[in-house]
Amino acid sequence: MEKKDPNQNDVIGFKELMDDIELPNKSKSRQKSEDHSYKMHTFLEYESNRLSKILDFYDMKILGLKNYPQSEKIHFDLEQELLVEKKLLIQKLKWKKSPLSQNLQGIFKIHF
Amino acid sequence: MNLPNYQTVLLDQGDLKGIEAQLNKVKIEQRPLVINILHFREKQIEVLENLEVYFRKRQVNTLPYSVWIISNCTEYLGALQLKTKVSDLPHYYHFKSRPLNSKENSLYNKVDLKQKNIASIKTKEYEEIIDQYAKYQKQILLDYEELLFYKKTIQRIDIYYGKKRS
Repeated sequence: MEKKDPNQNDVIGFKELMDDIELPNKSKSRQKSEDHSYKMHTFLEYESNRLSKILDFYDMKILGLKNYPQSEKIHFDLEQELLVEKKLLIQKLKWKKSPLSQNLQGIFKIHF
Repeated sequence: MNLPNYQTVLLDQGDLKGIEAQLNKVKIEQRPLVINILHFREKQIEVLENLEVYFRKRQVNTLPYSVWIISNCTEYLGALQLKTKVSDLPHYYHFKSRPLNSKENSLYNKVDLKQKNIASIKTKEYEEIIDQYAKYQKQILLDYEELLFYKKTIQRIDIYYGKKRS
Protein backbone atom coordinates (compact mmCIF):
# COMPACT_ATOMS: atom_id res chain seq x y z
CA MET A 1 0.00 0.00 0.00
CA GLU A 2 1.23 3.43 -0.94
CA LYS A 3 1.85 5.76 1.94
CA LYS A 4 0.40 9.27 1.58
CA ASP A 5 2.55 12.30 2.25
CA PRO A 6 0.96 14.13 5.22
CA ASN A 7 2.13 17.54 3.84
CA GLN A 8 0.34 16.98 0.54
CA ASN A 9 -3.06 17.66 2.09
CA ASP A 10 -1.88 21.09 3.18
CA VAL A 11 -1.22 22.06 -0.43
CA ILE A 12 -4.79 21.25 -1.58
CA GLY A 13 -6.48 24.47 -2.70
CA PHE A 14 -3.21 26.32 -3.08
CA LYS A 15 -1.90 24.31 -6.04
CA GLU A 16 -3.66 26.36 -8.71
CA LEU A 17 -2.59 29.57 -7.03
CA MET A 18 1.02 28.40 -6.90
CA ASP A 19 0.99 27.53 -10.58
CA ASP A 20 0.11 31.12 -11.41
CA ILE A 21 2.92 32.61 -9.39
CA GLU A 22 6.14 32.86 -11.34
CA LEU A 23 9.13 31.56 -9.43
CA PRO A 24 12.30 33.64 -9.63
CA ASN A 25 14.49 30.72 -10.71
CA LYS A 26 14.40 31.53 -14.42
CA SER A 27 17.85 32.14 -15.78
CA LYS A 28 18.62 35.58 -17.16
CA SER A 29 19.59 34.26 -20.60
CA ARG A 30 16.24 32.48 -20.94
CA GLN A 31 14.41 35.64 -19.91
CA LYS A 32 16.41 37.61 -22.46
CA SER A 33 15.69 35.19 -25.30
CA GLU A 34 11.98 35.25 -24.43
CA ASP A 35 12.01 39.06 -24.52
CA HIS A 36 13.72 38.94 -27.88
CA SER A 37 11.16 36.46 -29.15
CA TYR A 38 8.27 38.69 -28.06
CA LYS A 39 9.97 41.66 -29.74
CA MET A 40 10.35 39.74 -32.99
CA HIS A 41 6.74 38.53 -32.82
CA THR A 42 5.48 42.06 -32.17
CA PHE A 43 7.63 43.46 -34.95
CA LEU A 44 6.31 40.91 -37.46
CA GLU A 45 2.73 41.65 -36.42
CA TYR A 46 3.24 45.41 -36.81
CA GLU A 47 4.97 44.90 -40.14
CA SER A 48 2.15 42.71 -41.39
CA ASN A 49 -0.40 45.38 -40.39
CA ARG A 50 1.66 48.10 -42.01
CA LEU A 51 1.88 46.21 -45.29
CA SER A 52 -1.87 45.48 -45.16
CA LYS A 53 -2.54 49.21 -44.89
CA ILE A 54 -0.36 49.95 -47.93
CA LEU A 55 -2.17 47.23 -49.89
CA ASP A 56 -5.55 48.59 -48.80
CA PHE A 57 -4.50 52.05 -49.89
CA TYR A 58 -3.68 50.89 -53.41
CA ASP A 59 -6.33 48.19 -53.79
CA MET A 60 -9.31 49.92 -52.23
CA LYS A 61 -8.82 53.66 -51.86
CA ILE A 62 -7.05 54.49 -55.09
CA LEU A 63 -9.21 52.14 -57.14
CA GLY A 64 -12.22 53.81 -55.52
CA LEU A 65 -10.86 57.19 -56.59
CA LYS A 66 -10.28 55.88 -60.10
CA ASN A 67 -13.70 54.29 -60.56
CA TYR A 68 -15.85 56.76 -58.63
CA PRO A 69 -14.17 60.17 -58.76
CA GLN A 70 -15.97 62.80 -56.68
CA SER A 71 -13.51 65.67 -56.65
CA GLU A 72 -14.65 67.11 -59.98
CA LYS A 73 -18.29 67.22 -58.89
CA ILE A 74 -17.44 68.75 -55.49
CA HIS A 75 -15.27 71.36 -57.21
CA PHE A 76 -18.05 72.21 -59.68
CA ASP A 77 -20.65 72.59 -56.90
CA LEU A 78 -18.28 74.79 -54.91
CA GLU A 79 -17.65 77.04 -57.91
CA GLN A 80 -21.40 77.49 -58.40
CA GLU A 81 -21.80 78.44 -54.75
CA LEU A 82 -18.89 80.86 -55.08
CA LEU A 83 -20.59 82.55 -58.04
CA VAL A 84 -23.83 83.01 -56.08
CA GLU A 85 -21.99 84.47 -53.08
CA LYS A 86 -19.99 86.82 -55.32
CA LYS A 87 -23.16 88.14 -56.96
CA LEU A 88 -24.77 88.67 -53.56
CA LEU A 89 -21.72 90.57 -52.31
CA ILE A 90 -21.64 92.81 -55.39
CA GLN A 91 -25.33 93.55 -54.98
CA LYS A 92 -24.77 94.57 -51.38
CA LEU A 93 -21.87 96.84 -52.32
CA LYS A 94 -23.06 98.52 -55.49
CA TRP A 95 -26.09 100.60 -54.30
CA LYS A 96 -25.56 104.33 -54.62
CA LYS A 97 -25.28 105.30 -50.98
CA SER A 98 -23.16 102.38 -49.89
CA PRO A 99 -19.89 103.31 -48.09
CA LEU A 100 -17.90 101.73 -50.93
CA SER A 101 -19.69 103.80 -53.62
CA GLN A 102 -19.27 106.96 -51.55
CA ASN A 103 -15.57 106.31 -51.02
CA LEU A 104 -15.07 105.62 -54.72
CA GLN A 105 -16.96 108.79 -55.62
CA GLY A 106 -14.73 110.75 -53.26
CA ILE A 107 -11.58 109.28 -54.86
CA PHE A 108 -12.81 110.02 -58.39
CA LYS A 109 -13.75 113.61 -57.45
CA ILE A 110 -10.31 114.27 -55.98
CA HIS A 111 -8.18 112.70 -58.69
CA PHE A 112 -10.13 113.19 -61.93
CA MET B 1 14.53 34.07 -45.56
CA ASN B 2 14.91 37.83 -45.66
CA LEU B 3 13.71 39.49 -42.49
CA PRO B 4 13.07 43.18 -43.20
CA ASN B 5 15.97 44.67 -41.28
CA TYR B 6 18.49 47.09 -42.80
CA GLN B 7 20.71 45.82 -45.60
CA THR B 8 23.76 48.03 -45.86
CA VAL B 9 25.67 48.53 -49.10
CA LEU B 10 29.09 50.17 -49.11
CA LEU B 11 29.41 51.58 -52.60
CA ASP B 12 32.63 50.52 -54.35
CA GLN B 13 32.47 52.93 -57.27
CA GLY B 14 30.76 56.30 -57.55
CA ASP B 15 30.16 56.35 -61.30
CA LEU B 16 26.84 55.31 -62.83
CA LYS B 17 28.14 52.04 -64.27
CA GLY B 18 29.66 50.98 -60.96
CA ILE B 19 26.46 51.89 -59.12
CA GLU B 20 24.37 49.92 -61.61
CA ALA B 21 26.64 46.87 -61.34
CA GLN B 22 26.43 46.87 -57.56
CA LEU B 23 22.82 47.88 -56.92
CA ASN B 24 21.18 45.77 -59.65
CA LYS B 25 21.86 42.70 -57.50
CA VAL B 26 20.13 44.16 -54.45
CA LYS B 27 16.47 43.36 -53.76
CA ILE B 28 14.98 46.68 -52.71
CA GLU B 29 11.41 45.38 -52.38
CA GLN B 30 12.14 43.01 -49.50
CA ARG B 31 14.33 44.98 -47.13
CA PRO B 32 15.06 48.64 -46.34
CA LEU B 33 18.28 49.66 -48.06
CA VAL B 34 21.08 51.78 -46.62
CA ILE B 35 23.81 52.98 -48.99
CA ASN B 36 26.96 54.23 -47.35
CA ILE B 37 28.94 56.81 -49.35
CA LEU B 38 30.85 58.50 -46.52
CA HIS B 39 34.19 57.18 -47.85
CA PHE B 40 33.84 59.23 -51.08
CA ARG B 41 34.52 62.41 -49.01
CA GLU B 42 34.57 65.44 -51.40
CA LYS B 43 33.04 63.48 -54.27
CA GLN B 44 29.86 62.66 -52.33
CA ILE B 45 27.74 65.21 -54.22
CA GLU B 46 28.65 63.61 -57.57
CA VAL B 47 27.84 60.15 -56.23
CA LEU B 48 24.49 61.41 -54.93
CA GLU B 49 23.64 62.84 -58.34
CA ASN B 50 24.58 59.51 -59.96
CA LEU B 51 22.44 57.63 -57.44
CA GLU B 52 19.51 59.91 -58.23
CA VAL B 53 19.94 59.24 -61.95
CA TYR B 54 20.15 55.50 -61.24
CA PHE B 55 16.91 55.40 -59.22
CA ARG B 56 15.10 57.52 -61.82
CA LYS B 57 16.37 55.34 -64.65
CA ARG B 58 15.66 51.99 -63.01
CA GLN B 59 12.19 53.15 -61.87
CA VAL B 60 12.34 50.99 -58.78
CA ASN B 61 9.26 50.49 -56.71
CA THR B 62 10.58 51.67 -53.33
CA LEU B 63 7.42 50.49 -51.61
CA PRO B 64 7.12 49.16 -48.96
CA TYR B 65 10.69 49.98 -47.88
CA SER B 66 12.70 53.14 -48.28
CA VAL B 67 16.24 53.80 -49.38
CA TRP B 68 18.51 55.85 -47.13
CA ILE B 69 21.92 57.26 -47.94
CA ILE B 70 24.57 57.70 -45.26
CA SER B 71 26.37 60.89 -46.18
CA ASN B 72 27.57 64.08 -44.53
CA CYS B 73 27.13 66.14 -47.69
CA THR B 74 25.32 69.38 -46.85
CA GLU B 75 24.99 70.84 -50.36
CA TYR B 76 22.63 68.15 -51.65
CA LEU B 77 18.98 69.24 -52.00
CA GLY B 78 17.57 66.37 -54.08
CA ALA B 79 14.94 63.71 -53.55
CA LEU B 80 17.10 61.11 -51.80
CA GLN B 81 16.86 60.68 -48.04
CA LEU B 82 20.16 61.49 -46.35
CA LYS B 83 21.30 60.60 -42.85
CA THR B 84 24.67 61.47 -41.37
CA LYS B 85 25.08 58.25 -39.36
CA VAL B 86 23.52 54.82 -39.07
CA SER B 87 22.11 55.55 -35.60
CA ASP B 88 19.95 58.33 -37.11
CA LEU B 89 17.98 55.77 -39.11
CA PRO B 90 14.53 54.73 -37.84
CA HIS B 91 14.92 52.23 -34.98
CA TYR B 92 12.03 50.15 -36.24
CA TYR B 93 14.25 48.09 -38.55
CA HIS B 94 17.26 47.85 -36.23
CA PHE B 95 17.41 44.20 -35.19
CA LYS B 96 19.52 41.12 -35.77
CA SER B 97 18.34 38.35 -38.04
CA ARG B 98 17.89 34.92 -36.42
CA PRO B 99 16.05 31.65 -37.11
CA LEU B 100 12.35 31.99 -36.40
CA ASN B 101 10.11 29.67 -34.40
CA SER B 102 6.94 28.23 -35.95
CA LYS B 103 4.67 31.05 -34.76
CA GLU B 104 7.02 33.74 -36.04
CA ASN B 105 7.54 31.82 -39.25
CA SER B 106 3.82 31.78 -40.04
CA LEU B 107 3.74 35.55 -39.42
CA TYR B 108 6.79 36.01 -41.62
CA ASN B 109 5.08 34.09 -44.45
CA LYS B 110 2.20 36.56 -44.29
CA VAL B 111 4.65 39.47 -44.44
CA ASP B 112 6.46 37.87 -47.37
CA LEU B 113 3.22 37.37 -49.31
CA LYS B 114 2.19 40.99 -48.75
CA GLN B 115 5.65 42.20 -49.81
CA LYS B 116 5.25 40.30 -53.09
CA ASN B 117 1.77 41.74 -53.63
CA ILE B 118 3.06 45.27 -53.05
CA ALA B 119 6.05 44.69 -55.35
CA SER B 120 3.65 43.69 -58.13
CA ILE B 121 1.75 46.99 -57.84
CA LYS B 122 2.78 49.38 -60.57
CA THR B 123 2.89 52.57 -58.55
CA LYS B 124 3.60 54.69 -61.62
CA GLU B 125 0.09 53.90 -62.93
CA TYR B 126 -1.45 55.25 -59.74
CA GLU B 127 0.68 58.38 -59.60
CA GLU B 128 -1.51 60.21 -62.12
CA ILE B 129 -4.68 59.46 -60.10
CA ILE B 130 -3.03 60.62 -56.87
CA ASP B 131 -1.69 63.79 -58.55
CA GLN B 132 -5.09 64.64 -60.01
CA TYR B 133 -6.81 64.00 -56.69
CA ALA B 134 -4.25 66.21 -54.91
CA LYS B 135 -4.73 68.97 -57.51
CA TYR B 136 -8.51 68.98 -57.05
CA GLN B 137 -8.25 68.89 -53.27
CA LYS B 138 -5.93 71.91 -53.33
CA GLN B 139 -8.31 73.80 -55.61
CA ILE B 140 -11.30 72.87 -53.42
CA LEU B 141 -9.45 74.18 -50.35
CA LEU B 142 -8.63 77.50 -52.06
CA ASP B 143 -12.20 77.90 -53.33
CA TYR B 144 -13.62 77.09 -49.93
CA GLU B 145 -11.38 79.69 -48.28
CA GLU B 146 -12.59 82.25 -50.82
CA LEU B 147 -16.21 81.27 -50.14
CA LEU B 148 -15.70 81.69 -46.40
CA PHE B 149 -14.19 85.13 -47.02
CA TYR B 150 -17.26 86.22 -49.04
CA LYS B 151 -19.65 84.83 -46.45
CA LYS B 152 -17.83 86.63 -43.64
CA THR B 153 -17.75 89.89 -45.61
CA ILE B 154 -21.49 89.68 -46.34
CA GLN B 155 -22.15 88.98 -42.66
CA ARG B 156 -20.06 92.03 -41.64
CA ILE B 157 -21.81 94.26 -44.18
CA ASP B 158 -25.19 93.12 -42.85
CA ILE B 159 -24.08 93.92 -39.29
CA TYR B 160 -22.76 97.34 -40.41
CA TYR B 161 -25.97 98.29 -42.24
CA GLY B 162 -28.05 96.98 -39.38
CA LYS B 163 -26.23 99.29 -36.96
CA LYS B 164 -26.48 102.24 -39.33
CA ARG B 165 -30.18 101.82 -39.79
CA SER B 166 -30.88 101.48 -36.07
